[in-house]
Amino acid sequence: MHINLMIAVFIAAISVSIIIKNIDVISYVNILGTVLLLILSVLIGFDVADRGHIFHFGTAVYIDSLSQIQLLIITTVSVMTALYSHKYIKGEYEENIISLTKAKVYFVLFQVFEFSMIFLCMSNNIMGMWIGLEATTLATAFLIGFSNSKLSLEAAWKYIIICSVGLAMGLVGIILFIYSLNSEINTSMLQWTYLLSWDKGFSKKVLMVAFTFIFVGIGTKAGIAPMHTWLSDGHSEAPSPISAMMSGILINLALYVIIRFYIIIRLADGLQNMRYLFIVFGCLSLIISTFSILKQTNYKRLLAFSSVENIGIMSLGFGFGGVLGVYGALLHSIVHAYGKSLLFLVSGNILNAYQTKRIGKIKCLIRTMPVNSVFLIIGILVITGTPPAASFFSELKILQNGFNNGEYLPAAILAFSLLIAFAGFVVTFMKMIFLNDGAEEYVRLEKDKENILPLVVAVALIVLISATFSSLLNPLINSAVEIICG
Amino acid sequence: MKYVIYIIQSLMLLLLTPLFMGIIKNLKASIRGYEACPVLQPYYNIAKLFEKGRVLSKSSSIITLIAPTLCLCACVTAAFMVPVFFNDGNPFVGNLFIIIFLLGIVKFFITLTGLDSASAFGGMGSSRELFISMIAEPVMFLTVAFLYMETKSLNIFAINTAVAGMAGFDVANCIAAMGFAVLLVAENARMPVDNPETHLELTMIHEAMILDTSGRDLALMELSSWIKLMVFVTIFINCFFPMGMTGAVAFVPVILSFIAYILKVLVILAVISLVECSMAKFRLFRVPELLSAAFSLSLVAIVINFF
Amino acid sequence: MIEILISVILISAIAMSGFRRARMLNRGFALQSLTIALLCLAKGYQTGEYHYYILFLLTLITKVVIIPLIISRSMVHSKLERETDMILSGSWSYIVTGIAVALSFIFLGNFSDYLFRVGCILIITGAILMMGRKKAITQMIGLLTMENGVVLFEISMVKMGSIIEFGIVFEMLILAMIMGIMIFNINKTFDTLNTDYLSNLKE
Repeated sequence: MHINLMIAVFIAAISVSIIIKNIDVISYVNILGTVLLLILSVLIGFDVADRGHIFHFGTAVYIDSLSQIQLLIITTVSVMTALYSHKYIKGEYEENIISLTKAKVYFVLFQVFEFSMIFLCMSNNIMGMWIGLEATTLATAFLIGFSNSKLSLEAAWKYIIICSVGLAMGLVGIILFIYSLNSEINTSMLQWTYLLSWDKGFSKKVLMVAFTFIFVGIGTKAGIAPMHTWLSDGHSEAPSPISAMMSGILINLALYVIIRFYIIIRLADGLQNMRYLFIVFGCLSLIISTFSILKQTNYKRLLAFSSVENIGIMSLGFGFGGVLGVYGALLHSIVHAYGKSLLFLVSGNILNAYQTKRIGKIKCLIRTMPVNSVFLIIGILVITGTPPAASFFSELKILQNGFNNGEYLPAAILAFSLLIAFAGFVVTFMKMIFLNDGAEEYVRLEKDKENILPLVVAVALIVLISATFSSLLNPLINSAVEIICG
Repeated sequence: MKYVIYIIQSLMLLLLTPLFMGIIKNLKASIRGYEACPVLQPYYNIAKLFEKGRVLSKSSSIITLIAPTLCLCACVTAAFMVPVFFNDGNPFVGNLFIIIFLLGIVKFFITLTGLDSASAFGGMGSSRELFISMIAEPVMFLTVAFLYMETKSLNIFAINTAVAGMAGFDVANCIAAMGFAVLLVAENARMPVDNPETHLELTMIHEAMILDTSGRDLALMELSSWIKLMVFVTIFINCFFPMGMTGAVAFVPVILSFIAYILKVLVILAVISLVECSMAKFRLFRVPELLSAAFSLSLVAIVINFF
Repeated sequence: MIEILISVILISAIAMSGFRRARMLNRGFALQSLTIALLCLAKGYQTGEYHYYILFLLTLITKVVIIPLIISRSMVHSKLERETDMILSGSWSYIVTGIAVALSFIFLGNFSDYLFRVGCILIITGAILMMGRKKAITQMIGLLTMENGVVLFEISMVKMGSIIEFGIVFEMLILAMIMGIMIFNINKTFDTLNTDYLSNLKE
């Protein structure tokens, strides 16, 4: 019943965005739609906590606690970005940077993006998951190239080409995966719950090749190095609310799809070594991204590389495989979503005030934009894993699991990379915030007071998660860990 | 008895060649929309050329004297070695390499004639012709290798029987046929490699080499290049599309096989005319690209056949 | 009949790797898609299942008619349609494609189904087309060729429901539309389609 209401909300929001011509009304309907979706997803969460998992539309929709986590992340981050987009698009429209049609296109694509993400995490059909990923690529392509400047067109072109090739490889992997099931193919074989109870054996070689294709292909969408090259351009050139959504949710969802396949192949024996894929690619992501963070001159690109690093951490968590590691990875995905959105929204504010993305040109933020710099400091501390933020505990658990398993080299790489990332962040952002070379008079900018509400929401959510992850959220994450670890 | 039929089939090939050239001219004219010369015109042209005298340059050597005759002899010998519409496993002749090298003799002596004429255009034509054939040779050998790997024999009569015995088409066959079709165009100076109707010397490749010949020599050279084209077409038909070929010595099957052959030749001539009317000649340095495409195709055909 | 169609697909794949003009690439892509549609029809006739006929109609409408139309309309304002300097140019592209096709036949030799091998070959040819050229329109056609290869792969191995295949084809159509619009925008902004100018964002 809740799911039907969700679909109704989407249809209403998209039709309002297409029909009505007043930007304010569209934006308010957008925010209202996202809040309604949040309430519906919390209600669904209570249902899932009661019954363990729910089916809807026959077996087409399947929500268990793993999907529930993703659903919560999607809806909360979209509330934040919808609140932020209101001022953002209105500001651009009133300064005549964009036309009315373009603003309407923004809101329609925003809704379509969110719909495809929710479709993806609720789908029981493995091809439905792929179609959802492809739909997000299509929806965000125009959003990245939104400002039609040279750099953003280049970023959008790279994004389309690399992600389409990646998803085509993912499709090849899924087809090989279905082929490896070794029996007559009927349409119920595309359902994840049916595959979970598959007992007729797999053909191992084909399954290994299939999973590698799936990992590399969908890993392109997740931002795992060395397929991450679109991420640094795409997330830095997109408008800030879209960057927040993509960094926080989309790369997380791609990793979620890989995990769904990983759960199934663990049923086949002899394939335990597939987790080394996660570990190797995770370490590669960590190394490449942390050394790139050290030499960035564009703060949005730095945040994008930090997303790659966090995906590397999560991938290592899933690769280490024990209960602690998977718990840490899931918790990290939640905290990273909120923390990264916070950082991207703050950087959107700074971009709006300074009109430049270069680190060297921004100085003494503590005087010119004090409120935003407070949020910036909070965001940095959350992302780099400082206690008492929950990201500290998640990274600690992943490290613990690594040392427990006896995999010292990846754990050492993880520790080293966390250190370097912390150093990179602190050096860069402290220069931006505190450097006062006395060259000019620093006055508080007017634009500091704009668009603070979403940031407050983000910080509230982070505080909530950090305070309650071991009591309120514990059963949810624990049941998700059970699904993954078997 | 069957040897008589062998001799008759090759004589038919030789006698019908100018008719086929007239058919090509007619088809091109009807595509282009003007009224063409009568179909038998090439016969009248050859007869007219035999009656004319010839002019030889003082700086030419014995090559100009002997080359036309040599070319015609080589072509006629090659025509007697290919199956046209009757194939009963000829035990005497038919090695594919000999046929190819006989046609190579033609190319060699025409090239020497071009150089021998001591005019700039002849030398230019010779160098271009050798440039193209240098790149076309690997394609030719890959096609021969493909036919060998498919049928385990180098005798064209045995290849014909073996390919006719295969049920249905095969992917490798079709791809190698496409490669050989490109080779056919390149070796015989048709479009898009060389324009046979051009009158501008700087665009000629084959015509430039025989520019200085006249009278009887010109007739022999033209005849030999026409026969070379028809021998190539016959090899193409019989190695890749051998439907309707018969080996029986009775009257009706032979006539049916002859009709099938004529129909196939007409289809190929129609395709050649269509290509000639619709494309422009390639620039000289783009011809290697075309031939490397043919090379790729033959390579792929061999690999497909092997696995 | 299926063998002839498969050989036409292979010939078009090798031929397209050397074309320079965007219009010829467009026509080559349309020919390839037409052949794939006819292949679906032939397979449907052979096995008698109706979902091959649906796939035939879908492929015919989207990939033979609509997508080449999108490509040619997005190229309307582009001045230079010919690629003059390519990374893999001229004869080399034919030879590299031929060797890649031969190698993939060698590695996939133990599979007996032709369609599977041709699907892999189309994917590899599409990848070579994307990597070896500098123009954005060629990269788009390379991507579409890869998707053609994935479709062939899918026909040969599994049989998914009609809704899923409809979804995949629809997805491809929207992807082509978006890429067409983006190429139009790139042409308007940069005044060229050469991707050498699209390398301003660096480390």
